[in-house]
Amino acid sequence: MTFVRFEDVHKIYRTGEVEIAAVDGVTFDVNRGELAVIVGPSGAGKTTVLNLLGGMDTCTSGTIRLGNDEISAFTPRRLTQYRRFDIGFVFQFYNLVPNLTALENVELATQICREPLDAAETLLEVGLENRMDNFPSQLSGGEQQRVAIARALAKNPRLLLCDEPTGALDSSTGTSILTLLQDTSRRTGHTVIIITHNHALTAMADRIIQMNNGQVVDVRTNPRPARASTIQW
Amino acid sequence: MHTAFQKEILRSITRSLSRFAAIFAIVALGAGFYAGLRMCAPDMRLTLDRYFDQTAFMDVHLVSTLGFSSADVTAVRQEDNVSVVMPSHQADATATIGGRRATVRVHSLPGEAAASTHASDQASTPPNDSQYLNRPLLVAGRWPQTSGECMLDSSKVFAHTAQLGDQVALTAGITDLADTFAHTHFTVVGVFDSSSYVSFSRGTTSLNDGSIDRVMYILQDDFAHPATYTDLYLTVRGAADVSTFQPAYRELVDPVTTALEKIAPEREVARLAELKAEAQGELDEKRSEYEKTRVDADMRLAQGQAELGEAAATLAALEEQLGKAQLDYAAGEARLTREQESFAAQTGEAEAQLDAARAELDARTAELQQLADALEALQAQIGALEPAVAQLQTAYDAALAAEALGQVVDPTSGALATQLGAAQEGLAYTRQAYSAQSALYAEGTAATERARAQLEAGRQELEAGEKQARAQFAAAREQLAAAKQRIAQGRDELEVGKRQLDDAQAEYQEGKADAEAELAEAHAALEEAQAEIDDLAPPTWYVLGRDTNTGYADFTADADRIEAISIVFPLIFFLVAALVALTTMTRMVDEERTLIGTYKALGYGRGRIAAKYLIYAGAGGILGSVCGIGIGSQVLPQVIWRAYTTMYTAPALLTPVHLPIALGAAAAAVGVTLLATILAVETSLRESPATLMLPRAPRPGKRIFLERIRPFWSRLSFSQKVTARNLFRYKKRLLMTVIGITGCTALLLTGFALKDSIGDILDRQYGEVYLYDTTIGLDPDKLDDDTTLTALLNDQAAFTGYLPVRTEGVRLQNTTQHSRAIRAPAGGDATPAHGKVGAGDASLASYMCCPSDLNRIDDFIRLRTRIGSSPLSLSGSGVLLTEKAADMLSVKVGDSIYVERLDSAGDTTSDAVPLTVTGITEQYVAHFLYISPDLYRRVFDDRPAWNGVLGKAAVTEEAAQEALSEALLGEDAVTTVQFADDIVSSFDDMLNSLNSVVLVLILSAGMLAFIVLYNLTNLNVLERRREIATIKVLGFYESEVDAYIYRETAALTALGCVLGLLLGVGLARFVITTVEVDVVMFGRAIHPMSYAYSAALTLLFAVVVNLAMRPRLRKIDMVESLKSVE
Ligand SMILES: Nc1ncnc2c1ncn2[C@@H]1O[C@H](COP(=O)(O)OP(=O)(O)O)[C@@H](O)[C@H]1O
Ligand SMILES: [Mg+2]
Repeated sequence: MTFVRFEDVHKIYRTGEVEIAAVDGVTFDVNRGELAVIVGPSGAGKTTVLNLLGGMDTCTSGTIRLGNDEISAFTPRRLTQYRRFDIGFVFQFYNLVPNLTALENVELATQICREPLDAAETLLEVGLENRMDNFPSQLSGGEQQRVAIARALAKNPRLLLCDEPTGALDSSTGTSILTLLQDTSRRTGHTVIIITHNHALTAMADRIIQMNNGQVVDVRTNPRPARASTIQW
Repeated sequence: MHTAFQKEILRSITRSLSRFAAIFAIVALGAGFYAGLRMCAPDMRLTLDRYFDQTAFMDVHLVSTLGFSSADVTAVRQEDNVSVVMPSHQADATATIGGRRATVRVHSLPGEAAASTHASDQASTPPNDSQYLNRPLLVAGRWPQTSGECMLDSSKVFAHTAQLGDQVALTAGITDLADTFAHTHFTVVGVFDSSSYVSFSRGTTSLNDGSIDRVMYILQDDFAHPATYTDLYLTVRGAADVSTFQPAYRELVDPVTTALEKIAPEREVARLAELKAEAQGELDEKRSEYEKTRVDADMRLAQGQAELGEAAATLAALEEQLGKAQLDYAAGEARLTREQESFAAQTGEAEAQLDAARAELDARTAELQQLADALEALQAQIGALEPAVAQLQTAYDAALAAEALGQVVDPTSGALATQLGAAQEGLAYTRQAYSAQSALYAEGTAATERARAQLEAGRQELEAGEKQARAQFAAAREQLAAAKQRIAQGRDELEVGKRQLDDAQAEYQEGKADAEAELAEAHAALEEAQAEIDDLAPPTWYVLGRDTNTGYADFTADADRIEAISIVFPLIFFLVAALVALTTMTRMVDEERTLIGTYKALGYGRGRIAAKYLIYAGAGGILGSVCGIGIGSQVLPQVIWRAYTTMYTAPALLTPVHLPIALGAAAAAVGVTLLATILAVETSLRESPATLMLPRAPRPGKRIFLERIRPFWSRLSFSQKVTARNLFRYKKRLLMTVIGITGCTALLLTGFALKDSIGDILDRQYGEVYLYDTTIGLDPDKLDDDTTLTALLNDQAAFTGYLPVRTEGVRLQNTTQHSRAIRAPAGGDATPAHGKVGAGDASLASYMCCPSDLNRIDDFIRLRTRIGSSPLSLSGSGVLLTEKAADMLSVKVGDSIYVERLDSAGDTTSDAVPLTVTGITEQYVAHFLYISPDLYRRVFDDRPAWNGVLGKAAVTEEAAQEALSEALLGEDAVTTVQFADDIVSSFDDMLNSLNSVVLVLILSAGMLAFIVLYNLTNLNVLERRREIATIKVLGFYESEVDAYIYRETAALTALGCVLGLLLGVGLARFVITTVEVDVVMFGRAIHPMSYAYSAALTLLFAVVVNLAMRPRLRKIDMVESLKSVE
């Protein structure tokens, strides 16, 4: 059952005279509860796609749907609400608020949405029950990314978007993060979209969307995705 | 800009204009404010100095207690370096100007010189006469040209401006008006400004209330003694070329002053000799006149005496005559009586004779009758005999016998013969007898007839004699009566004469006594005059500099006050500038870590790299300084000067850029910025390129102490927690913002407080402390019988209440001053003007007020403490002192103060009396010492003679008050009438002009707030892009994003606001006490609304900054910001 749908989405950046088509007619679907991976080389337009989907940016043309909502038609205000209530976002550089503890960073998200999960519980679920009162600077990269994931999950979002979640991490930490994402997706039935330039990650995905030059070059489903913990790079 | 490095610097400026702008703005503000404020005093001084130069204002002012002669003028003129000496006249008088009473100082105007002053441009076109000093500037009308014309000053405060054509009548002077002025009535033909009178206070005098209200110029010849000068004004060579405020000026003028002081004793003695000679001459003349008068009087007296003697002699002669007449009269009367008596006797005798004669006659007649009878008998006998004789004859011719018979018949002898013979004989005898008898009878008859005739003649004679005698007697009596009358008349005349003589004598005596007394008096006067001449002390010369000119002194003091403020105020701005530069440059360096690393890696030296930031900051600083100083130096002095213009009459303020100050301000501002830059860049420069290339680890989050307060902390929302932590994380920014906002609020509060306190002077003085609104000056000598005044005061339609008081000038000293003064008696006894502490011996001129009724004083003056408003009562045990006086004398309740009374000339009349201060009372204008009548009597051994009345007028409209004032001034005893409203309204102008200062403070405060808040927000936004982007991504609404950032600003603003209010109280107090003049206490209380306004304005500034910064927050692009770590 299609949950996310991109239909001929274009995103053209205009810098002065130069027009760059970061996303150039992208069409793909992702079903509910799937863990999708968008993979492609740097500059392929992956982040742009995710930003469009996450409501952080608007497309130049085409339609983007999530469930029954046509996101591409949202007003800025509606987009903010969309981000607030429907989307969980995990960034490559975690983007934790440095002045808030792990718990507070999660609360930062839970305090603004409708039916949040318990922040502490969520942190417990990501295995950080002992680091709740630590500041980001006192946490390792992996731990920070766990906090970021907890922050995204605690919102109980309809869609979890992760932009290069392992990009700044070493391989083993990256694996544990991916495992966390996969387990969460499986356990909670959350639809998760992960962006990566790393082909190794495609193994754990239900659906693999391959991009290049702003275009989707291949979409395939993986009937038997590997366990994330087995992935090595 | 050739090298790539230089290009990079230029671009870093153009690419981060907002950051550059922050440095530029704060430096502009700081340097501009500092320079503007600092230049204010120099501008004022320059303006005054120019004004002095343009109007040829004197450098030295000579006053002699006995005036100057032309010899003095020549002597002064001959002194070294004395450029011009202008002898002049000056006198103070009470005058009526256009119906209003005023105390005026009258100057002589050198008519020709003044008239030659170019009328259209007096200041810059000096008259041809270089000898003409202290030139007034004509602002309206024309110069006085003929006797009886005058010019009045253009007073701005406390006086109604003169109208051309107004009449001025001088009514009383310090000495006899006629001794001073040749004219007492003048017509105003011109209005002037004068550099001698730049401030609204015109100086002091011994007349009336001691202060001069107006100044007027009249022609020299309208003074009574044009040749004796009262004042010499002189200029010193070269003194105009230097500023009067520079030491160089003193260096030029002081030697001249010293030289003049040196020749003073000699001149004083010479003047004394001159005056003595002159006076002696006059006295001698008077003496000879006196002598002449005396001789005249003596002569007149002697003549009078002689006349009186003569009159007395005449009277004596008259009396003698009268006596003689009386005697004569008496003699006459006696003689008459005698004569009458003798006449009566004679008459009696004669009558007796006549009677005898008549008796004889009668006897004779009877004899004759007998005879006749006998004859008849004889006849009959004969008849009988004849027949018988015949018979007898017949018988005998007895007749013959009868004849022989006679009587004897001898019948016996005769027989018939015998009988005849006898008968004849008888008959013959009888016949014979008969014939004899008949002869006898005839003879008898004849004799009788004769006798009768004789008797008749005798009687007739007697009768005639009697008649004649009676006539004679009547005549004599008449004569006597006339004589008597004459005598009586003479007596009366004598009486009158005597009385007249007595009168004349008395008159003479009286006249003599009078004349003698007069002469004695004249003599005594002469002696006195002589003694006076002999005792004539040499005059004292006062060599006065410009600093004794009230206007100059006030002006200088105000300039100094502003200078004092100008040093403190800008500190805030510099501090904030430093912090703005520090935070900005720190951020910039942080941002450019990698770049610095790259430069380092490329082989640029530390100095080179640091230079980039120094140039960046320095460029901002220099540009800011230039702009700030350019604007500040023009605007600020003008604005501050505006606040003073109501008090000064001076030309427009000159506002050149004072280079030393400008350079100082710029150096300070740029220096502070560079220093901050060095601090900011220093740590980064020390790091190795490798570490610099790595992104700096985000600043670690830290627990703050607030978190220890669990119940509080747990109640905060996450964003509040972020705010709290952020506040403490960026300490420099916190400091910058808090100090900036503190400064802003403090400035605002200072501005409002300044207005409050100056507004309060009158509001509190006349609204709360003084409950009366009318002051009536009285002449106690004329008061006793002024019943109409009493009626007027008691008239409920005019006054609802009044209280007589005694007000007099006193000098106050505290115990220390007193004991010092005793140990070292003051040299000069120049009395300090009111409110000024005298030079040599420290003492404070003040008023002493003694209310007539202690029970009612509370209805007229609220005697109470300022703090707490607790009422103070005036008792016999001590005095109440007003607050500012107590402050200036450092006197506390329970201390003693020494009080010396002053006479109208300002000299002390009594020894200093110690009195205990039992209370310090709220007061804003002038210094007062309140004393009970009891204590007054006891201490000064004198009855307090009421010389004033505090009234509560029943009328408030100006016209009604004017009428009341006129009615009061119509009374002999009333000397002045003043309504509080007049004072209050003239003060309003001053308050209004203060608005511009408040406005500048508000603007500066606003700019300060804007810069720090802008900088803070700017830095926050720049530094926390990712954080903001993150929360945007998390779905924060715009308002939530705003709040996330602005909560910090708001907290700092609130903190700064509170601190600012605290600092503002102190700053306001400093400013207020610094600008405060000695005689006035500004209000000390800052109104609650001022706190509210200051806080509200600060918050408003914060809101405005936030609104202005909003687009920048909006512009933060989630997509961009999240891409990578910067
Ligand atoms: N804000 C932007 N302005 C201009 N070009 C952009 C912008 N964002 C991305 N691009 C361009 O769009 C293309 C796709 O970028 P991106 O989606 O970030 O690729 P990926 O995430 O696959 O590396 C790139 O060529 C990039 O240069
Ligand atoms: Mg990307």
